[in-house]
Amino acid sequence: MRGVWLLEEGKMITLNVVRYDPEKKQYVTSTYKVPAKKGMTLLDALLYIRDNLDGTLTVRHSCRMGLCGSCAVIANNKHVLACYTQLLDLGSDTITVTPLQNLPMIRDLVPDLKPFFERYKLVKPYLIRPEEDLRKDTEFLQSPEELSRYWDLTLCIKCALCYSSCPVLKVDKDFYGPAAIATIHRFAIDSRDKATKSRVEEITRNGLWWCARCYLCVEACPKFIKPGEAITNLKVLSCREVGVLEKGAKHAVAFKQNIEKYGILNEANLIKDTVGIGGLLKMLPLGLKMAIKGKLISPFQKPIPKIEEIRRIYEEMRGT
Amino acid sequence: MRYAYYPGCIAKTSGKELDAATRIVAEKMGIQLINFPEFSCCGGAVIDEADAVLNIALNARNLAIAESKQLPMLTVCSTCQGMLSRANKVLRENKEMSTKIAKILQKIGVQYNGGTEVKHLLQVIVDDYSLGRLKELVTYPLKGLKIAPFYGCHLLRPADVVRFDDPWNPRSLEDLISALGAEPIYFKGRIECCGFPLLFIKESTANRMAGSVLEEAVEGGADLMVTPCPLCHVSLDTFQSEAVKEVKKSISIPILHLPQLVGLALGIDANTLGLSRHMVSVEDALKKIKR
Repeated sequence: MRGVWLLEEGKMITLNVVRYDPEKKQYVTSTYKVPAKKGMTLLDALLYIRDNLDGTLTVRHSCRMGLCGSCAVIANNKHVLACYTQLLDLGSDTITVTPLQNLPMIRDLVPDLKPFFERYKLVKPYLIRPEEDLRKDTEFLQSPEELSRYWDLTLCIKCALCYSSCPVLKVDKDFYGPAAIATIHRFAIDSRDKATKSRVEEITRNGLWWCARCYLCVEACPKFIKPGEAITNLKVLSCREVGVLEKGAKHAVAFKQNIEKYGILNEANLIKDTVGIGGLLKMLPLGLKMAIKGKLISPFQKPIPKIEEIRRIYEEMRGT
Repeated sequence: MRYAYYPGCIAKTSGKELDAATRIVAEKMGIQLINFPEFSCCGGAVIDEADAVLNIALNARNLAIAESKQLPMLTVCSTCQGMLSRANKVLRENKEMSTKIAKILQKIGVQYNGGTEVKHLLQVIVDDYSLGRLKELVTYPLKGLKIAPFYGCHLLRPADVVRFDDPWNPRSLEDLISALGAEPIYFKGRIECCGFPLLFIKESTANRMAGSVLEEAVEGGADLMVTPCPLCHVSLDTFQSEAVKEVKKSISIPILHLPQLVGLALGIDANTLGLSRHMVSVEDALKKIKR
């Protein structure tokens, strides 16, 4: 990794804190100097400011040990929990702290997490069993192996860092966001849950395939849960459990078939298979401009040399 | 310097100019590109959404082809780079998976032992070739040009898969732009997603994502944008008219493939680099270069 260096101990660090002013409905930046010590977290620095330099600075925090998820912020472009981040590890003597994105703001560094939790509720984050099971006195047992399949995903602390980092949510508020969809995967693969199919079908119809797989959420997650990977796994499960319900799955399956035929991607065929002839006609004006630039490709394509190797791999996969 | 050249699908179809620019720039730099027409698609971060194991098997075959000639791979696409690196990591670290894949590859007489490194052209230039050496080749510094770098997701993330630049504060493209004599422009969206994966799934969202990136770059004062990913190029150049319509802006900014930008600074003419194949004209931006 480039550019990571440790500051000398006892340096003064400049903190530019981008604060939301609810009266003026705008962001303003306040600058403070904080004496940095080894072991000091970013939250310590923010609280030092509040206690010693500016009592009006509003910061949300509670556990100070990376468990409650209250103090999520963006520090020098990096999505972090303030209490989980060593000030000196940020590798700069000037640190810009901004509040989370994609959320309405309350004040200073404090966003309103309501939209995040509203989406979270939609995914039914609890075990679903038939009524008669719940009346029985027996436990719902599970082997350590079954537990290990979803264990990592239970570590989510709902800090909304993934939600803030998501570029799809930035422009599309219909998207559920990483944490909520990853949670569906957590329950869908829990051997005690009896609603896998309905869970997968519901999210398939409501934006599972709108995840663009940018993996910003994977970098943002302070618990290394990898929400983006969970969403990809849920897509695989969706193809298997509910088939090609909508465009995303159609696209994935068509892509797979395309490679079996040609070895490399034929964009013309893929687009036709995903959006249909009607969709292609809608693209006609742009298609004409592309044709002028020589960017249009023929749907007739020669397979790559040794295509039989690719087809054999597919055949073997069907056998497993 | 010899590499197994992995152009990826777009550079062989709608984005042929990327392939042409890569070859000519590599030649100028003395980088030898070995062709393997039998390379298959990397899966495009799509096949594994239908079948994850199949995708790893396909890339294990690609990696094995390069390994059999003891060559590192050179990619020119952020997504190819990400997908091949991902397969490489899984095959090296996950015993159960690598055994499973080995059995499949055995059927076609192929074996992969984890010995291939996969590097994007940007990485080859910055790490293997060095910007100092590149600077010596610059005959036509791009002085006066303000350039917005746009990385493409899979070249940066997941960082434990690609192991290249800092995922939140990358600087390899900025350093390259400076080495070519131009000025890199900072904009927030440079590490975000261009929307390409959603172009045929949720078009309006895809276009808004691209629109937001373009808007931020123009507001940052950029004359043009450069990207190491041809998929980003599709959504930012080919679909730019749709993207700016979606964000209701009347902006326009040319998008260059990475080797095209390098090629210009090495004195290769715009036509040879395939700049005329872009939807958004590059001409006006190039006039800003101070001789």
